Amino acid sequence: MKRLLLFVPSLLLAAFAFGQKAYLEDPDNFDPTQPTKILVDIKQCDCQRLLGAPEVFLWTWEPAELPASDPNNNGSWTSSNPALAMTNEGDDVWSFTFTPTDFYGVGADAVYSTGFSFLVKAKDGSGLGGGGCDEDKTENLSIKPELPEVPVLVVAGFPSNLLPQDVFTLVYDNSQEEKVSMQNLSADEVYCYASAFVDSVEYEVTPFFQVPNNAALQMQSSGDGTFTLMFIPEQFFTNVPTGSTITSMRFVVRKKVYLGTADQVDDPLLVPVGCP
Amino acid sequence: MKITLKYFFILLMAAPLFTACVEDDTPDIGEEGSKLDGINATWRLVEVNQQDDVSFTLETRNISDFLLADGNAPQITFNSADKTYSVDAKGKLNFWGTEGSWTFDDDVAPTNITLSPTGESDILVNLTATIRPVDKFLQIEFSRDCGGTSIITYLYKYERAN
Repeated sequence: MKRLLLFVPSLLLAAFAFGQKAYLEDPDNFDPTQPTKILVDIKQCDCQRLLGAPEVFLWTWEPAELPASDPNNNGSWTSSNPALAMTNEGDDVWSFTFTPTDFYGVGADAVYSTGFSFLVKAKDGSGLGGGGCDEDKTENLSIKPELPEVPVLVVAGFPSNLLPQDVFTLVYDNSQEEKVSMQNLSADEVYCYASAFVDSVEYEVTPFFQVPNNAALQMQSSGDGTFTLMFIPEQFFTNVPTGSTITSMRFVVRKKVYLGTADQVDDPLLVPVGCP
Repeated sequence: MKITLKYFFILLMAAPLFTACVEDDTPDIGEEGSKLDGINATWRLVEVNQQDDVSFTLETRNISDFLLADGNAPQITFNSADKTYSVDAKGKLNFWGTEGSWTFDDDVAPTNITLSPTGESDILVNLTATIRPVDKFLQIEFSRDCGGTSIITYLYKYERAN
């Protein structure tokens, strides 16, 4: 009985994986900037005229439709571009391996945003004509890659890269705080120790134990458990000597009333400033 | 009662016949407004978004509160007659300098503006919406480059102030 209980879910999972029309070979490790294999199982498609076909071609229009001048363009409907010939994996399963960002000439964000839209066709897709399943093609297919899981950061900075003249937002998500002594902080309770580095020399805005005396270091509650502090580094770190360039910033989120390390987050946030 | 209902339905069915005869009083669109006339104004900042161009998802944050919460909105004035501009940044975020000259890439159908702040390098900002005399908002975007790669894009929305 135990074996049967294990066997049934496994069978269901296998059926799901093999019952798809179009899928990524390794969806869990998908990276749009790395070689990726997409597979199409003609047997699962609604249009079946390509069953047993000796060769098939990819015909794609998303994330980008490539112009005729591009070596990866689709070609014409009656004569596909040989560069888009798919590989026979056997049993009417066909694959195409490519690096999405290079192939389409787009950024990774565009790949995640639209996913892949395509169909599979014979070199001459005309078939009986008239569109639909009477042509030598599958119906329109799509694959939408899942965004990679991003670890939840309790303290984070936005944007990822910045210059000293840009607006910076420090975000503290108290609702994700795992340190019990720092949980459920009230709207007026969160402050931040901040310092800037010019190479290895550190310039603090206010000494750690005087932070609550500086209203500019109080983080603002957004009302949903998050607290933010926004500033322009060049204007915020007033004690950085004129003509010096800030190379990084360091933040420690803490409570207004500080009795010991229980009243601060465990890890300071270090933010590089300048071109990566 | 039966007769009343019958008349009601006849009238209901006949309604489209009368509406179809209403004279079309939609005014002509007329000539498209000059973009030079369109931008010739003082513009008050009403919204700014910051887009992280390094993130996969182009994550965006609205930073309007940071710049506008005190009710003191930065302004920019474009003069189309002598192609000059001036900025009243109110001491806030400002990449445009305090004054300079400007040009559209195309006076008829502009897609971007080149700002030439006095004594500084040219700055290219893209128009993200058309700017005719009837348009209430000036919408532009400006990218912060690191060696030719954009790391941040600021999306500005200004409201016509005069």
